Amino acid sequence: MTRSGWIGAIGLGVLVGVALLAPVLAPGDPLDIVARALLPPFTDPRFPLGTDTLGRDVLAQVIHGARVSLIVGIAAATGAILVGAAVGTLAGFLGGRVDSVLMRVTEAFQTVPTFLLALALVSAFGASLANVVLAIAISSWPATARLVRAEVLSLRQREYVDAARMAGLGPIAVAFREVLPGALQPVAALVGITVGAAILVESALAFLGLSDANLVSWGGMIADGRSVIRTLPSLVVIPGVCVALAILSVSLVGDAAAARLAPQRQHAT
Amino acid sequence: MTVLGAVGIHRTFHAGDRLVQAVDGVDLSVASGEVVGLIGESGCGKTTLARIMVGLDRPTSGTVVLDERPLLRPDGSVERSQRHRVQLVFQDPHASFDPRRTVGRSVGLPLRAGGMGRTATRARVAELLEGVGLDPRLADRHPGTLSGGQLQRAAIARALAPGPDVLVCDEPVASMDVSVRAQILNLLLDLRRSRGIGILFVSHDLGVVRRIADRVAVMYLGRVVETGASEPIWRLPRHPYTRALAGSIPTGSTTWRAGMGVPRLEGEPPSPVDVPPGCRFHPRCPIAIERCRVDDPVLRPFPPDVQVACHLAELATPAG
Amino acid sequence: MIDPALTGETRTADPAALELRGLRVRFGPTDDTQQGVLAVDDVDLGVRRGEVLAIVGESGSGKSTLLLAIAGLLPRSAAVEGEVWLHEREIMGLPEKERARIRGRRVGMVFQDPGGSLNPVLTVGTQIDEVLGVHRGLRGRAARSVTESLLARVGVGDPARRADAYPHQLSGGLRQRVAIAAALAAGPEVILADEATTALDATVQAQVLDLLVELVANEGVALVLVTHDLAVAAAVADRIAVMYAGRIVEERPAGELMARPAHPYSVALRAAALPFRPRADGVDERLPELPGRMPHAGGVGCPFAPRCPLAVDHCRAVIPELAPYEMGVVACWRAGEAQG
Repeated sequence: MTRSGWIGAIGLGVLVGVALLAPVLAPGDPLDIVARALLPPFTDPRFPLGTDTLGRDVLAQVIHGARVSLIVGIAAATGAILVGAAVGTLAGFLGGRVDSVLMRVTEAFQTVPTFLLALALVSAFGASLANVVLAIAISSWPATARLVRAEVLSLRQREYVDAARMAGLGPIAVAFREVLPGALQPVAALVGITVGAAILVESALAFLGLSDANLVSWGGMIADGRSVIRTLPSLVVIPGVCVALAILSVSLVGDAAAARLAPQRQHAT
Repeated sequence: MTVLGAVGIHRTFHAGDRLVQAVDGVDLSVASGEVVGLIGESGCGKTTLARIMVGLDRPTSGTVVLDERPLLRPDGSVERSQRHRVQLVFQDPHASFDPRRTVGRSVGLPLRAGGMGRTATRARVAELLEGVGLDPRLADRHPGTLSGGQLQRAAIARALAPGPDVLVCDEPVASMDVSVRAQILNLLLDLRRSRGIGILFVSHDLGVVRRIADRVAVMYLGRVVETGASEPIWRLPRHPYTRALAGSIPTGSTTWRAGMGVPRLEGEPPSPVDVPPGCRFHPRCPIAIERCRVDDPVLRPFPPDVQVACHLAELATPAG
Repeated sequence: MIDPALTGETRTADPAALELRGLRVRFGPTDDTQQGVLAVDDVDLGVRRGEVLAIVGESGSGKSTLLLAIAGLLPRSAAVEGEVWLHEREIMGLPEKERARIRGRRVGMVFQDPGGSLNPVLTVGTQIDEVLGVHRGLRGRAARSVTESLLARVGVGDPARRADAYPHQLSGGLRQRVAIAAALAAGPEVILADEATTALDATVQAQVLDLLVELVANEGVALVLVTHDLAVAAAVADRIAVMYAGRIVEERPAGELMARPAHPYSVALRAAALPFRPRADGVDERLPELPGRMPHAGGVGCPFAPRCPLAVDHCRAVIPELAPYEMGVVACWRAGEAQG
């Protein structure tokens, strides 16, 4: 694995660890008011990152925010990739009318900007965590679908796919067992991007107050800190850096996974 | 005796708003124990025809029969019960193996697809690999670590796995060094002799076809222009294209530069998008007459056991 | 004595247009090979103007590496030793810039895949114009008229129109003709052709081989043709050099070598190359096989010994050097004993 892959893996590991251990690391409700408001970072050892506009512990919020980001990112990306891979594989492999219909639908979804679509869905169905995940998944599967379709189109012409047909596998088995695995390599890189995008969209929704109000979210923290950005910029900077590092980590890991999935090419000499 | 036959095969592709006549009315048959060479240059339709005969492509019209029963279902797929009887060996073994899978898994795929268990498949794959002269331990390696010759043997083992009556080989030695090529060709000939397998050998290489085929069919722009028993055709190629093709192949003789041999064909095979009217070979034919420009010749029988599609086939004289 | 520069045509007295002395190519160490690989081992060769030299060998024999070394197209990881004489000058000792200039002027290269050597986004005429500009100082209209005459010379019909075509608009045979015209543009004395007809259809291959032979005869260039196909070599070459594991193992006039190959490897190659041997009735004639694989260059003893039917202990212990043999040279302790 490359060095950037390791860096990403460490970042992602920290993120996962913090999310899993949140109740241990920061017991209690992170939304409780625990001290005076606007305590700057590194001034009180009990609150290393200070407190926010209402006097809530920033570190506890950051720790619990990792949970939300990770859940939203992984759940939404999983949904998007499952739907996208299925649609892309069927469209690319079956071709013809199936392809045309599926691709028109995909394009219809893609012409609406991801964020606007998510915004509309959450506004219509309410700002619960499940709806946020659903909204992000629905708005981000078309990219996977198009990528998988393009890969499948080139792979289905490969001789080893013909060889599988000669072996007597049916069309669906050929599509999902022979063709799709080969198309997953670029998808792995896209997973990183999709997870990152999902984290970003969630943050943006939270920033607009459209994420689950009962949960801490980095985006929501940024929104809260915005009003005091001149007096205490750390309230915006800290969650912002968290968002950036999380996205960077997952995309580095995605790239490394894509490289690992590439077939071995050591020829006999 | 099993016979794989193509009957009146047409295959048309759409290229934008134009029609490409890749295969334009071809009959061809391969019997068990027989090697049939299908020769032609790029774009003549030989690979399309081969793919149709194994059910990887469907004809626009015409049928493929196995023992006089249709091999293909109305939707173009191969009858399930017959699938194992006709198998294909591809040109480039490094392309015909999934680079992510071990050689053994790929060779065993037809067996697994046929419902054989994991352990039985492993044992059978080892037998198959030994049968084509490979070390069975190669089953655990990835295709990228085998040489072209080794992998083509494995490809033949995979084609043999379902127990076929007919093997269709699409340029199986095109990219190989001469010493490896001889090994692969000998392996095919051994299979024919020991198991009575029929072989359709698709190639652009007349030298190779001449060495191993019992019968040949020469294709030009989607049609068979000359077909029949191998030796009579090479002794007396009656179609001017066959003659030119035979004259184009370096024979190992050093007389080429002295200007001997057959006059060269002008130009290159035209694209099957615009097939010339009349005889499709007439624009490049050194002996074409007025009739050839308008009148499309059909295959006519000549003794012994040869068919030629040329108005002037009677004029051919034995090669010097 | 007449100045050769004035007549430009002193065929018999001409020194070699290209001569190699003790040429060696070693590829630097990689992850797989700690010591690096010797690809070409001590090759001496010469070719005159008006002459066709074919270098025949299988993959891994070093034939293409040898050609690329002459053309200066090897990657930096390759170490080239020995002498390359072009136009009566040893160029390996020259500064790199000077060496590149002489090569560009005196050597033309034709590759197997003309699509790869032609730039897909420039018209073929523009590409030949550029060569003329760099090496002959021709520009604009003057360059284009020479380009058109070059295209006509390599048998491209309607050269004025074809010069404006992009490579993908031409057939494979035409592209290879254009690549030959581009190789001729600088007015070289030596054309290096690496499997130049391998990718072409049989009837087109024959046309291009005819063209190459014709150019050698009419333009007085020297042609070095690298091919895996002994039959192609026999058809067009004056002399054939057979390469095995980085070394020349036999180099003789084409007729001699085809009639009485002296090295057991040449015998095996010829047996595999001769296509037209009718089979005895009803019996499969097995094709002659050559079991085993080619080793890397630089081992102990004759590199062919492990596969050689005639090998004796001496062959396995001492590597044979090229020695004179019937109008050429052969590197074999048992030269001439193998039966074809």
